[in-house]
Amino acid sequence: MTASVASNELRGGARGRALAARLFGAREVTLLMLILAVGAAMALLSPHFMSGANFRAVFVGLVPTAIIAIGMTMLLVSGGFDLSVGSVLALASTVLAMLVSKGVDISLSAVITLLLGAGIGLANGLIVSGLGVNPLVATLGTMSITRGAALVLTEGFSISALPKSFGTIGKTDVLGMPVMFWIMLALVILGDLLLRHARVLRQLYFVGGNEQAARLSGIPVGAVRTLAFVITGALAAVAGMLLASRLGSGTPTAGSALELQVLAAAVIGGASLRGGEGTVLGAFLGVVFVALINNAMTMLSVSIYWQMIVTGAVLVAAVAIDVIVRRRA
Amino acid sequence: MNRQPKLNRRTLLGAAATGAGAVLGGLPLPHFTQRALAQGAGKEYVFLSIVTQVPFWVDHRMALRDAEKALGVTASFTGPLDFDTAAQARQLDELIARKPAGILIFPGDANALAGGIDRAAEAGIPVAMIIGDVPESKRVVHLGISNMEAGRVGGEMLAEAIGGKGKVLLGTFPAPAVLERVEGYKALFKEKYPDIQVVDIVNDKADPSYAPTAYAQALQAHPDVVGIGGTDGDSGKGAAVAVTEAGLKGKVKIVAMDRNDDMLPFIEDGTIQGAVAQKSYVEAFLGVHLLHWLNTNGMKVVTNSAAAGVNPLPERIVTGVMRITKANVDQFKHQKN
Repeated sequence: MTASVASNELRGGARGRALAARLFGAREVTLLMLILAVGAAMALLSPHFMSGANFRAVFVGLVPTAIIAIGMTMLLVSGGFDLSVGSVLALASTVLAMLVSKGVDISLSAVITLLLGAGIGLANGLIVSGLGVNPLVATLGTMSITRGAALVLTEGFSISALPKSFGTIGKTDVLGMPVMFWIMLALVILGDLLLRHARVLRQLYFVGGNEQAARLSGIPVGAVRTLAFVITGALAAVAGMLLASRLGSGTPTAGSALELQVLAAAVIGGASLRGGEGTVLGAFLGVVFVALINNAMTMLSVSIYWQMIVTGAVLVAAVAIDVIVRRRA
Repeated sequence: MNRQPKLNRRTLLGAAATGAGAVLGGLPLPHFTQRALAQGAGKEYVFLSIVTQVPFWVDHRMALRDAEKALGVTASFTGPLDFDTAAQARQLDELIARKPAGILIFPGDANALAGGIDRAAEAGIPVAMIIGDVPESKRVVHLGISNMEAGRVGGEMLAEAIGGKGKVLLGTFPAPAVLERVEGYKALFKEKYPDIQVVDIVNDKADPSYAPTAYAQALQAHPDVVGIGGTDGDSGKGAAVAVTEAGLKGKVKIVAMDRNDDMLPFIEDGTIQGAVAQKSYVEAFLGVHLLHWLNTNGMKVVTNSAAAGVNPLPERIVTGVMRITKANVDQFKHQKN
């Protein structure tokens, strides 16, 4: 009798896990467990971890990374990636600030900046899909051009003489969190749903999984991948604008090495550098996990010399745990 | 039947080169010409730096422009955008091949440049070291601050702001010069303000987009902190944004480093109590002058220093730091031209 109940519970547990895995994908479940485990450990180790203010600091800080990770995941799914995102973020923050400082209406400035980001994404897409240039080389080139443009425009100066209204989105609170946080959350949910259900974005999985087969089945491979680049560029511009609003300035040096952080988070979240795999939710959890590890370093006052080693080791361990769990499943 | 010209890479490159030549030939290029003339006349001075993308170099670049006007020479600014010490060493060798009249160097890794500095000296190009030094090399002069002293001045300002006692954070990133400033803060507190306790060293990565998050988290980890001392150019603003977002403006006092234009408004509105600024302009302006005087035998320390085989320049010039406060902050804003 007992054995039977236990067996039923086991079957029930297995069914629950299978359902959760089907709903969110195995990587998301593992990652969620890891996040909860780190959170629980930190709650025991630091009396200040479980405070609203700390969560606010963590989640406001990860907004730019999380927003860019949405697009990067779509690109990774399609078998591409974009190294220019950190530079696009910097250029967007400076262009927005420059336009506003010259008296252009904030909404119009935001639209222009958004189009600029999308335009850089389009250029990346055309170079990669149209000319057949490797994404590493193509986006490394645009990374340099874009960062250079931000520096040429500003001569290295940050642009900070801006009206107070510029900081509204970055600094105004709604339900206890800044507006920029809610924008990020909405974009993550929307991005996740679209990648799962929108036909054109679902095609990214076919393109990344088997490009030749996708082509033969009539999918416009180049156009679909270019769309992912455009979305990524536009999202990097959004991230840059939100950062500028938070900091109250356009900063040409912002987002240095951000591209690697975003890539790492997306891969931790289940995206594959070989293409065909990944979800926006997974990438978001990857971003949260990395931010949590960084937060733990600060909360525990780990020496700045050790922080990089610990962070790197934890990230490798996170992916390794997932690989082992999947192999056993 | 007409033969179509064959379009291959060679013909394309040839066409591109012809086109570019035609475009350039038709344009007046005063800037290039002036630079080329200066190079030819041996009057070109080059400031070789590193992490050249950050706003910190604005004052050096302004000083180079003013030195150009004052001396009738050309003074240019170059160096890797990032902290790429190998690229800086390579650029030094390339500069030596170009034979400018003198080189000013802010070294990323002094040891990596020691050989290049000696090669420059042997090629007859005098080298002035800015901020960082390689004293055992054949450089002719070093101009810069004492980073320990800069840290001590920042420590003094922070101690004044918090009334000489309480827990503080120090913000930095792992680079030798900046970490020396951290030691300056600590040394001063130990000697003069034993009631000030440094509870954590925050790594803001000298990244303007990350710094606010670093300080926001550190403020949560140490809620009883009353002051933050920043030792790099991005720490002051990062701390100011974090303190403002946490509603701690006025309760947590901040002392910043350098004079970045986007940090100065926080001194104006009282979020930051003060900043420690280097005399960057002096380093570059004086550096070019010293090298030029050396080249033109302009200082009669002896009849002819080259013939005498002596270095007439001072070995080391400590340029010192300036205190920026609410009272004088207006004077530190850069006029973009």
